[in-house]
Amino acid sequence: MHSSERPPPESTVRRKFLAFLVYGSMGSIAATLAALLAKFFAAPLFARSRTHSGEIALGPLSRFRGAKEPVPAFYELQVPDGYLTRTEKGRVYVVAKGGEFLCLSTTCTHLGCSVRWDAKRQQFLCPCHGGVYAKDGTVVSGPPPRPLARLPVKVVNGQIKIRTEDLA
Amino acid sequence: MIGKAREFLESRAGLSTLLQKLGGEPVPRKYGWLFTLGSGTLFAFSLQLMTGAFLAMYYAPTPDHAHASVARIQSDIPAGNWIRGLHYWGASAMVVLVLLHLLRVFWMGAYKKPREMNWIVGVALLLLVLGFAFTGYLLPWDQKAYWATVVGTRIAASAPVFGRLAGELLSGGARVGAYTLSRFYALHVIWLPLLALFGVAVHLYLLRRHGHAGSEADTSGRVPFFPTQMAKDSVLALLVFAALLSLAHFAPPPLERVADPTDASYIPRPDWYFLFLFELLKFFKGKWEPIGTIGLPTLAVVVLALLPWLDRKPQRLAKRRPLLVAAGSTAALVILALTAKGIVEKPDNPTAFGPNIPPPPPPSALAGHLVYTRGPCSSCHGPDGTGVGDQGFIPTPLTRGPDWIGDHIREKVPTLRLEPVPKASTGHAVAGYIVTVQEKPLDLSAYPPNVIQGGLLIWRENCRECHLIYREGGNKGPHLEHLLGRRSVPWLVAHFKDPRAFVSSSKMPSFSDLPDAELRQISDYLLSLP
Repeated sequence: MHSSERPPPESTVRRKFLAFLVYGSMGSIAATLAALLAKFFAAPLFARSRTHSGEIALGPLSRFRGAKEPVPAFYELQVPDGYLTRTEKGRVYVVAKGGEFLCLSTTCTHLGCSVRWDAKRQQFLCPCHGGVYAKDGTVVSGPPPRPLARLPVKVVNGQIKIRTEDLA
Repeated sequence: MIGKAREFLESRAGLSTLLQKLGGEPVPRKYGWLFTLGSGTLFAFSLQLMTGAFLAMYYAPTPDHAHASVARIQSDIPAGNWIRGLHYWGASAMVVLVLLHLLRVFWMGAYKKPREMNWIVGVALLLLVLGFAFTGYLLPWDQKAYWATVVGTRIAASAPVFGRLAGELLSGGARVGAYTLSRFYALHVIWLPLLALFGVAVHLYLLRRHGHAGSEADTSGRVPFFPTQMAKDSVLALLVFAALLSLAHFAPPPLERVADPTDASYIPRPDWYFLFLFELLKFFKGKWEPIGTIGLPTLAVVVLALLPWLDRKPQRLAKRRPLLVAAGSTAALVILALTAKGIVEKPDNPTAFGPNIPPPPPPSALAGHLVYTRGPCSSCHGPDGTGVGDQGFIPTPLTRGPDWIGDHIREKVPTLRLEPVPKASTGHAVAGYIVTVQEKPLDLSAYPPNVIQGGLLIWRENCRECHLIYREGGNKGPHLEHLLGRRSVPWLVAHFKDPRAFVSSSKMPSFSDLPDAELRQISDYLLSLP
């Protein structure tokens, strides 16, 4: 580099004032910008759930009544997602139990993989980390901390229905 | 604790020594404020990097979603209006600062031996700044974005020999479309920043290598960079930042209607920093056009880059180089004048739908028109109520009420499907239509389809229950007029979803169950009202 002769230092008071200007200006710019960027970055934390409330028909009672095994039911949900509205496809199991129906989420309570019914073992198996659930969704073995979520079921006009907000 | 950390950093990385060395760099004692322009540009560039890196988290570079994602950033995402405002106005700040910096270096003859190389790097950085501007304003995918890019890529394509090839490479195809957008996005957020960061590093390295040129007129010696010069640099940065914040707040960046290749009413204009090129173009007609679009700009860049070799005498004082300074000032004044001419002559797109477009018909007339054209009405009643058909809309003025008309339609055509006009309101709609066409025939081809659709949706959603539009409707809510200039599409859309978030005392229900596309059409209609 090119500078061998250092210029003489300026008076201390002046130097201190100028240094204050440097740190003050830079500090206030950095603080303001950081606050704005942090708010912008953290926006998803404050977003309200935007799932429309409503009901989804899973199918006529006759499909599920008296079934020996859990019956898979598929649904489509319009989900507002960022700048668009997406059609989310999903699956639940309906378990007939006496005159009652149990609607089980397929989301493993361990790390969110999708469980499937194994007819041979008569259990729900998670393909990821070996979680095993019984027919009513309670944990049999493996890492899951909680039973499979139960979605409240309503029977209206011979149709089994669940509420969209329970799926969120 | 801090002392220990400092000691560690010094012994392992030599940080204190480095800072001392950087801060001790001797810089001129006089004219310090003129020497803040380069660092001001660097500050603006850093601000663009920061805000841009965060905007990219919410932006979608596809024609289907770009506009909606920008609208969300602007009106829904907390602090989004600030971040986008800073980025939008920061682009202008960069152009202004970089040009002032260039003029300063030119005026003081600082490009001369041994600093020729740094001048060239500087010219390259100027071109990169313009590249950022050009690629950046396509990204919102609104009318301005689309048309400016169509014109820009066509200009490239009009160049002799390799023009067509260059144009297609630039737009990623024969037309401006999906690949243009992703290309421009990749250039804007990856390639140009990499090149610019490298350029800035070389620029600063060369600055240190040869030391600050200063002014030949200044014989008062040098002071260390820190704190004297750095204080001035910091104050300028603070002023620039404050100005950008104010602009972001008081003059939020525009977002026009989504790009519409079919819209012939839109008058495209580039942003102010490209206006001089736009105006230059007007002087060259026909086969001479490429001289204005490509020849002169290329020549200007070549002359600018070669300046250190065109002017090799060692004198740097402006008064000792009168010819060159005169030529440079003339060039600057010409550019300034062309820019001013462009700004003064800039046509407004006041209704966002181009001039000479009449205000749209009331929602009832639109709904009634739909009923009239979709039903078999014209087999008995003349078109547009002029009475040419065998029964016309008789009598004029109307003696039948809306209820009678509704019953009449249900009686004659019980199966008519009229989506989006609710069946119960057909009588009122047709009555409104007849009243409108009795005043003036209705020509719907004069209006953009989204405005017509918006009017129909306003009818379907029964906004007239509370709001007055033209002479129809209630007065529980505000009259829907004079919204243009006060409200924007993103604002209206966000407001429809959650009115109370904007007006805490609002009694208006939320319309968040309508798709965004419909809310935007409603907004387009409202903003086109007089």
